[in-house]
Amino acid sequence: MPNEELHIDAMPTKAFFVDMLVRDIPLERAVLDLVDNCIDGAKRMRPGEEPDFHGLNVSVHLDGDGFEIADNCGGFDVETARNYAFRFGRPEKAASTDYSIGQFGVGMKRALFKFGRYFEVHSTTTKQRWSMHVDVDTWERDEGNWYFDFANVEEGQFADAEVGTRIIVKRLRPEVSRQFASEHFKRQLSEMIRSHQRQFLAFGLAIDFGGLHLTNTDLRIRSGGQFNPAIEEFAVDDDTDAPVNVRIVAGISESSPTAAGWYVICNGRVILSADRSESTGWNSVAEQKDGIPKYHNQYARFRGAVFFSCRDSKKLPWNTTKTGLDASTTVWQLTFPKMLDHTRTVINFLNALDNSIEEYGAKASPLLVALNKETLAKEVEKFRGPASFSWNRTPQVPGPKTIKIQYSREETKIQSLMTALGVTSAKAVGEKTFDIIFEEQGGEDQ
Amino acid sequence: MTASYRIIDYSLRPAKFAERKMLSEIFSRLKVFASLESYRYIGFGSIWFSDCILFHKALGVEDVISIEKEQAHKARFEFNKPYKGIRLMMGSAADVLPGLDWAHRSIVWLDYDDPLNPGILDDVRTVATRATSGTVLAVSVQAEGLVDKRPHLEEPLEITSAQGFRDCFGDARTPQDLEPAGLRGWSLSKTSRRIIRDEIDAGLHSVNAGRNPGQVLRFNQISAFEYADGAKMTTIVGVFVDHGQNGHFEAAGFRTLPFFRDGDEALRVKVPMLTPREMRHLDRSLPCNDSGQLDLGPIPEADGKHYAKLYRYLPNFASFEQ
Repeated sequence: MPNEELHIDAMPTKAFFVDMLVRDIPLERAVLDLVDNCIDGAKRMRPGEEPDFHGLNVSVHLDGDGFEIADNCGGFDVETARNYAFRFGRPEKAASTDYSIGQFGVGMKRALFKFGRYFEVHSTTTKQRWSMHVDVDTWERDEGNWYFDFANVEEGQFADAEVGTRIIVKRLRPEVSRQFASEHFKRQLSEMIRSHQRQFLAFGLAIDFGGLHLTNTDLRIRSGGQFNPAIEEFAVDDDTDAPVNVRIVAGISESSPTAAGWYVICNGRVILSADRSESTGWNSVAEQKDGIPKYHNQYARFRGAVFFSCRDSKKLPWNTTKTGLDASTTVWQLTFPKMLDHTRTVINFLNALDNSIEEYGAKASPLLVALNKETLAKEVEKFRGPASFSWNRTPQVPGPKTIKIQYSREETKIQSLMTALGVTSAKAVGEKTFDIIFEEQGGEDQ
Repeated sequence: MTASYRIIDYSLRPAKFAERKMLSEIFSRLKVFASLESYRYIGFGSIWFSDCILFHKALGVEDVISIEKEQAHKARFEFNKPYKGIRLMMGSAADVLPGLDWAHRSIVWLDYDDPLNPGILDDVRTVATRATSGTVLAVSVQAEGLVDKRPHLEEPLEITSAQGFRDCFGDARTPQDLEPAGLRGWSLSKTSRRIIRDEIDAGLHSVNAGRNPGQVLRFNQISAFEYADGAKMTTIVGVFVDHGQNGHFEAAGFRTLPFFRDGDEALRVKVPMLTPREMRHLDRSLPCNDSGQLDLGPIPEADGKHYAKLYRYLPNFASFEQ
């Protein structure tokens, strides 16, 4: 039998392939992927666990007609473009970026196809400059040819100011064009970029979104005096050359129902923010399971952050698209029980604070007064451990400690005592009768 | 609630004294894992520091941490601290334990005065999810009766049924076969230990999922005690051992200790009511492996046998002699 008769054609059509590729990714996510690529470039330029990104910038512009993202983060060379960047899926031997946040070889292409039917990529390194233009309609019609062509390639010496990558997408898909034109979508997207990349913003990276300079979101924890957050640090796989370093910081901040909860940060990218779901131990089905109650606004001062960092990003507890938590990962399973302990500790404090406020009122609560007086808000990145959670357990009380007593008695009996004791409220009856019996039993001398 | 150290003089509790000595004997065998001097002791020293003193003196442990939650009397604790090397850490165990450096091999004795409650189990889990191989954990709780003290209740509620237990501890911590009988008398002591043990296993299970096979930890129970100096108390003690160090555990010889207990049963520490003269009489035929060989004289057999079992660990009564 001739050879071709043994083969069944399973080659996808390009149109089908492109359609499948872009289907499952939300539009916001696709933009974030492109920003991640810029940040990976910055990480290659300035490696390390806590790099200085000052002077590096990313700018994103989008509207109903097109999309553009540009950075000065090193660019990528012809070799990388030819063999890796535009391949679908990351080849085995592709060099990986330490502490990378970009995805496994799909991010950029997927985003470009998702947005529109025409794109350009221009990149300049210190030694090369190249560009490419792809008309997706033309490319799709040419079945069997899976190549993209360079428009030009230049070798030379290029100044630092020129180095970087610029991507332009035009002929947007109609649904994408509508979204990119919407102010609401843009506001949401800028907030997502800001919160997801907060640590890189804190490292000094400048992100410009539609002309607006994004700043890192505030994740601050109060400390000072006798108040300190819990800090726990440990390493997983520390006998390998790619240990995962984990740092947990849990404490208290301003009362804010929208900011309270856990923040999970992998290689600088925030994958969960203000989380109060079961993923981080809250809101368990069984009320008392693991000792953490359901989230309630009484806990609006709770802030917790878990930082994971590893030069090999595959070891981190995120899903393959690096957009959310993968709770089944080893690292997460080792970390989660520890987070529960810290949550419980902070909750115990917040319950005590709540009792103190109930007892004395918000203005006079000794604990709240001490908290406000002794502590200052500090960026969560600045805390280093280990340290136990602590708080002022003996705040200055105006006079001796008091305890509230509450009870009910028949109304008519209380009224007759009000008359007998010459007081005008049920509360006064309670206080007066207590004082009488206390004196009768020997007063302060007992 | 009045702090227990204001009610009980710990040094006058003979069964507790004996328990402490037996724990010390267990801990002394940890040297197969690492030198005892390199261990860290974590306990609740109260104002007496009996545990801290014994383990420092008998084992040579230098890094001693005493956790104390009665912040208001901090000065008094500092005053009673017998050695400079003891670090007093103010706060509840729940606050202090997670912030310690657990890469350190430790001897941990969570010696509560209270009956079992969810907070105690949380502390147990804190240790179980952090302990390294060679770390030993002892947990003591009162076993007179369980009380539900959840904050929304107007007053504490006695727990006498499985449902009551479930309401307070939650489904995950409630044994399937819990009967009212398991919540009263000495059975409660057994139930308490079993629930602590389950909590340790659950904590280990959650972290073992992320470990290489060689690093998977088990909790090997070494002993369990129950006694009633006043209130009924019970203790469970065991060591965390990873797969690679199982040989160490076997070599330590825990199994040959007369009070080795790795199941549901505990050693009931009953301090015999004997006069000093009677004790000296018994001492003359001790040690004695066959209790039939014991020269009892006029001493009741049960008391004599108890004495023979415990004499090495009992406090010295000589000073009471006229």
